[in-house]
Amino acid sequence: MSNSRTGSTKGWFDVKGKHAGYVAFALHRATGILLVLYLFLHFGVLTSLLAGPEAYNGMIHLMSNPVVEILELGLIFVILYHGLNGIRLGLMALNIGVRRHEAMFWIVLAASGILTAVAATAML
Amino acid sequence: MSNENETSAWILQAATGFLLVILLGLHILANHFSKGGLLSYDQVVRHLSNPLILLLEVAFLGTVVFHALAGVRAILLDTGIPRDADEKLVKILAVVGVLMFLYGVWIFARLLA
Repeated sequence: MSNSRTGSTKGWFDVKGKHAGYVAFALHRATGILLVLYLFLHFGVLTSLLAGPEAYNGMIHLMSNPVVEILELGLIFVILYHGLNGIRLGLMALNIGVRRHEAMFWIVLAASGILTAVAATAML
Repeated sequence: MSNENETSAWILQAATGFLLVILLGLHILANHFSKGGLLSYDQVVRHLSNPLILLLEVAFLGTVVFHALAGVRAILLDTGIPRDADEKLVKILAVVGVLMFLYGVWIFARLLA
């Protein structure tokens, strides 16, 4: 977690020419923001449960289409990246693999991609 | 906020993050991949009537709400907000977090009533 207080958000996601650690942190922050937004959306969708079986079943029916399924796969990738990179950050805080943090970033990215593909086959 | 508090905030965020790797993994597997997912209201109610699943969901709810809102605070701190604004922010996020948790528990209670 960065404690730098630059007073500006300019450049947070300007990753051009930056080292892998910077890109990893920018992605961690971006995926975190996406997941908070998704959490509110998830609460919204689950509110249909309060309106009874017809409302919930109708909502599920509405969401059973390829566009939503592709978005769900994107969500799975975002969750996997945030979780696996979180583990990477935790290991670094424990002084484990600090010198190999760049390689660990690429492993995190690759593992997120591979596990998303596994989830995609499970969803078929 | 003092450095000591920031360190505890970081440790709490790391600890809930680690818990979430387990709880969110179980939540996704149990709710969305077992038996093709919870695709009907009746399936959701049957699923939650298992006390172990209900315990998992309540634990997941509390942990994910805490981690998400603490993450929002961490990002806002990086924008360099002043200390008194941070104190207000923590109070607001605490209220939002408690309301979100209670709302989730209320949904579970209504489904099982």
